[in-house]
Amino acid sequence: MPEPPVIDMRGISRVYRGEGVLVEALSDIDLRVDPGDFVAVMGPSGSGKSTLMHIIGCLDRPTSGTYHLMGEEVARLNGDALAHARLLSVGFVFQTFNLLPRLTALQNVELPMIYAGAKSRQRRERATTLLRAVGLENRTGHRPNQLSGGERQRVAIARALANDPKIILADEPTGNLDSRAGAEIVSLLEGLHSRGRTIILITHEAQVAEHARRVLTLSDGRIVGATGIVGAKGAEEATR
Amino acid sequence: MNLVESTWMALTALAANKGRSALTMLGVIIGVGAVIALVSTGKGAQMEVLSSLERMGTNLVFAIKALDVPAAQPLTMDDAGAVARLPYVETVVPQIGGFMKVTYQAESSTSNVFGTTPEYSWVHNADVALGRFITQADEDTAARVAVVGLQTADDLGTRNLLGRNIYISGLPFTVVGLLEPRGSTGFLNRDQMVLIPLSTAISRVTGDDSIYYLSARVTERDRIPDVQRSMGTLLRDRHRIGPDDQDDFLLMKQTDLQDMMGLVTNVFTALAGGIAAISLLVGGIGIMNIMLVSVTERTREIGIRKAIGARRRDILAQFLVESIILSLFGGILGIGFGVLLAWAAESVLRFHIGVTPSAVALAFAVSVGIGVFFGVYPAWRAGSQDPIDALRYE
Ligand SMILES: Nc1ncnc2c1ncn2[C@@H]1O[C@H](COP(=O)(O)OP(=O)(O)O)[C@@H](O)[C@H]1O
Ligand SMILES: [Mg+2]
Repeated sequence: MPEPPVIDMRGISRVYRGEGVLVEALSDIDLRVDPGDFVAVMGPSGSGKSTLMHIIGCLDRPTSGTYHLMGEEVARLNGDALAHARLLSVGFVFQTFNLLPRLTALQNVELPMIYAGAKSRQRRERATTLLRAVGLENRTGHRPNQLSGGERQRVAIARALANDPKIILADEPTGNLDSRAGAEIVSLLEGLHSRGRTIILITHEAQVAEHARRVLTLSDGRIVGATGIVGAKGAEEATR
Repeated sequence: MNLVESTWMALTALAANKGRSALTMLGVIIGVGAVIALVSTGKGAQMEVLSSLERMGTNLVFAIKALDVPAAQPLTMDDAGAVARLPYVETVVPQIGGFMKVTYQAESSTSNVFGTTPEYSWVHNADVALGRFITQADEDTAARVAVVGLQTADDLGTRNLLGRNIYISGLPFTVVGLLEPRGSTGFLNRDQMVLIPLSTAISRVTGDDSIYYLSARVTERDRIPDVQRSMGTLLRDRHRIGPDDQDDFLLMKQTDLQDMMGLVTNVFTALAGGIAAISLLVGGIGIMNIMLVSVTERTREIGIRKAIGARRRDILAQFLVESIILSLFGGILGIGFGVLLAWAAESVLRFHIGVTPSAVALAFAVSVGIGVFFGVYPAWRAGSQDPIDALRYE
């Protein structure tokens, strides 16, 4: 019995209204993502990848079309309910990390749990566990500017996991990292996927996309290619 | 997110900008301090004036020549005698004289020099600290003796005046007594005063018996209005004032004076408090200004918080708590500042200035109110940021 999709988009468009010009960042996107899927989104700069991710993550609303997130029609949600979805259903990982500079790694990871109303001891324990899971047990008291790029991104991943969301949305998470740090981040995401989380990963790099089960290619706001490369990595290794 | 979390977040944010937070608070500190100090000083002045009026003697009705009636006849000793014979009038104390230059050796003082009777002492609570008061014998012999107030003595350079000669209108007077400190009524500094026998004043100083100031002491408090009325009728009759003409004298009960001075000091307090409140308002605007700057500076932070699930009200609360903390701490420090100012004012003005708990409570409440009032708009701006725009903000 197939589980219902966690993400179900039909005919999604997003139009930005600039000075006199309309920019159609997304047009007529249909996208279904099943629980536990690992989708890579590729495409040239400006093709609408980030816009798509913002809509998936309820940071932004589509101009038209219907979008169900975990069975719920997002268009019907008010601002607080959207915030609630961002809080509990999805976790964001950004290219620029987006950590709060004044907070320590531990405090950054605790932040989503504060908004979720968790007790302070519980928070501390979970944040510590999460930082250990990303290999930063010795960096909990560091502020972002005392961490390397790769370490910052690992804090961001720990933060994305704070409220145990079903979906992780990563927008070019390796874009600001050297290849070694990037590889560590990708393997962290793979680990999350293997433990059942749904991952949507935006990337420029083909070797990063390879880790996904499916690759969507966007161009000018449209999906122009979709490959279901199940076990792509294995296949590639076989061809070597 | 609960209040403890919001408060902690706000404190962290404020601590990150210590200098700016302190300067912003300074506005509130000065405002609250000024309100507390000025209102307390006003209240202190009021208490001082009212108690000084009380000390001036009780159950009194005063009469003076009306200053706004051109043809007014002065009150005379005959008028005083007639008033003294009215029912319920216990005694009458006339004062003859006015501002004059008093000299002692090289020093001089412009003081109220009044010729008056020995009764003045008990009717007006004027006790001597040193020496004696004017006696009936002085009065009978028109003796050139004087009882000197403390301020006048200080003006003349020494309190050691007993037995010395001071000069009034070129005439030497022997100082026989020094008055205890009596304070000011608001009209009259009763320490800057020289009292001489009535008969001496009439014969040697003023040359006539025009009374500057007449006090009638009433036997019972309840009879004060009656006495005021009968004095009015009597004096109109004696001055032959027609039925349609206005009084050429002014009668005042002591309670009228107290009411009037109470009103005057209240108005003063309200005015001073109002001016101080403007500085508090300016402090509040300072908070709003800084909070707006802070919201703009922290747009990206707001975006990040929203992206990880903060609701509008979480952001709003965070910024509102920050402005409340600024104004609350400003208020608390301002209360301390106000107490210091009041204390300084007390040592300069030399009357008791108490900072009342109600003034402190009010200042406290007002500063919280200012934090809320001037914090709401910036906090609302913060809470209403679009998450994407905020995240993209450079
Ligand atoms: N706030 C905005 N206002 C106007 N145009 C925008 C805005 N955000 C994005 N766009 C436009 O939408 C298109 C898609 O942007 P984006 O989703 O960021 O692309 P990508 O992430 O694939 O590089 C671009 O052409 C971009 O210029
Ligand atoms: Mg992008």
